[in-house]
Amino acid sequence: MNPAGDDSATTTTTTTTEAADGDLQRALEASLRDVGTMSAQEQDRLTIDQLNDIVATIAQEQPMVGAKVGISEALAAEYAENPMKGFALGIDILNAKYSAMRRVRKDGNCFYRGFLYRYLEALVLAQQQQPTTIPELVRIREVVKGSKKKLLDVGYDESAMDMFWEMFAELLDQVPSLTPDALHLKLNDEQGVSNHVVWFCRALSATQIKLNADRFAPFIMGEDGLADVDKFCRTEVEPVNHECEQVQIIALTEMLQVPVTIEYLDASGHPSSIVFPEGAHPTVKLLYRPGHYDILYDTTD
Amino acid sequence: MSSAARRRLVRDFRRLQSDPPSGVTAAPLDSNILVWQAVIFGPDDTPWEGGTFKLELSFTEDYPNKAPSVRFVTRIFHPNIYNDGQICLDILQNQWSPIYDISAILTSIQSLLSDPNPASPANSEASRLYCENRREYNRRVREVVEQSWLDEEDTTPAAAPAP
Repeated sequence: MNPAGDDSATTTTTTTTEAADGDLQRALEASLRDVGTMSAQEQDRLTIDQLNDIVATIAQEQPMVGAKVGISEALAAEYAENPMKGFALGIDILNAKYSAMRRVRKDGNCFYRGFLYRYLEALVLAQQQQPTTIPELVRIREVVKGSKKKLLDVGYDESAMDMFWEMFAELLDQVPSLTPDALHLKLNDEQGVSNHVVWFCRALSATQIKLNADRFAPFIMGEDGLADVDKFCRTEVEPVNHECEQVQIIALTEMLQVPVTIEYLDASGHPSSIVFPEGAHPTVKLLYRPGHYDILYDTTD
Repeated sequence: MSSAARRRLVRDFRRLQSDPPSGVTAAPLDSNILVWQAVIFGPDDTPWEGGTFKLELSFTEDYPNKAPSVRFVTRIFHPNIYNDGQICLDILQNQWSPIYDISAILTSIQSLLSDPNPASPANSEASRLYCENRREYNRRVREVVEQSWLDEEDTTPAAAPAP
C-alpha cells in the first residue's frame, strides 16, 4: 500500500501510458497529439479517460486469445508496408520453424495470458491421451497448492488472495474434463475466470521476486541506484495491465517450474530465441515483438 | 453479476467489520451491493481533523480485476481531488491491483488528504496554495471541514423536506 505523495512515482497519473501495451501506448500518443493547448490538468484527465476507452475498445475488438493462424498469413500482411525489410526476412525464418500462432489481446497482460494459455492447452492435450492423471498435472497442482503459504509468507492478505488462488486451483482440477476447445472458450470468457487466473500469475511472479529479493535486486535498480523489491512488485508486477519485463518472466517460470522460449522478431532479419531457464526444452513458446507477446506453435505441435 | 465480484465484495465487507480501519466506514446500499457509501474522517492533528467526508464507490462486474470508481460526495478542497469529487490517486488508476480491498482504498484516500502530491494537481488552485501559501490553504481546508458538518445535517432524515 502506498498512499500518495511519498515519492514521485505514486499519485501522478502522467505515467498512465506505462500501463499499456506498446501498441496501446502508440495509439494513445497519436490521439494526444492535438492537445498541446490544453492545461496539464485537462490533459492528465484526458489521458486517463482515453486509456480507459482504448482498453475497452481493444476488449471489444480483440478476443483475449485468438484462433490458430499461419505465421506468414498472420504476419506478412502486417509488415508488407514496413520499410525495414528485416521483418519480412525474419517472418520467413519463423515460418520455417513454427507452424502457427495465436494473437493475444494487447492489454498489457499478453505475456502472462499467452504463457498460461499455451501451458494449459498443452496440459489438456497431454491429459486427453492418458487414462490416468499425467505427472505434470500432479506436479503443477502441488506447486499451486504450496504457493498459498508463500503468498501469505511474503505478506499478501489472505482475504484478497484466496479467491485468485482458489480459481487457479479449480481450473487445474478441471483439466481432465476439458477439451482444447472448451479451454479456449473458458479463457476467452470476459465474465469468467480468465482475468483472475492471469492476474494470479502476476501474484506468483511477485511472490517469487520477494522470496528471492537478494537475487532479483540487481535487476530491479531504481533511479536512485537502490533496489526496492517491494516497490517494484507494487508498481510493475501487481498492477493489472502492466507490461512485463524479463525479471517477471524469470520469476514466473521459476515459481511454476515451467520453462518458456521467447522468439524476438525485430528489423535485424535474424529472429533470436531465448530460453528461460537456459538449457530447458519448453513447450510454451512465445513470439515477442517490441511491446507485445503472441503464442507460437512448433511445426511438430 | 459475476459471483466472483459479489464474493469479493462480501469478503471486503466482512474484513471491514472484523478488522475495522481507523477513521473510515463503508457499507453497500441495501438495494445494490455494487454501490457503496463511505465516510472518511479527517486525520487528527491535521487541518482536516474533525471533517466527515462522504464518498461513493461504484463497482463493476470486473471487480477486483478493475478498480471501482470512487468520488467524494462532500465538497473537498485538495490538490489531487477534482471539483466534481473525482480523485487522482495512482491505485485507482494506472496502479490498480486486486490486492487493494475497500478498506485499503479508503485508508489510502485518507492518507492522501493530509499528504497531497502537488506535482500531480487535479485542483490547480489548491495545489498552488499548498505550495505557496500554506496558511491560506489550511484556512480553505478548515472551510470544507466546517461545510462537511452542515452537509451531514442536510442529509439526515429529519432535515429532509416532506415529499
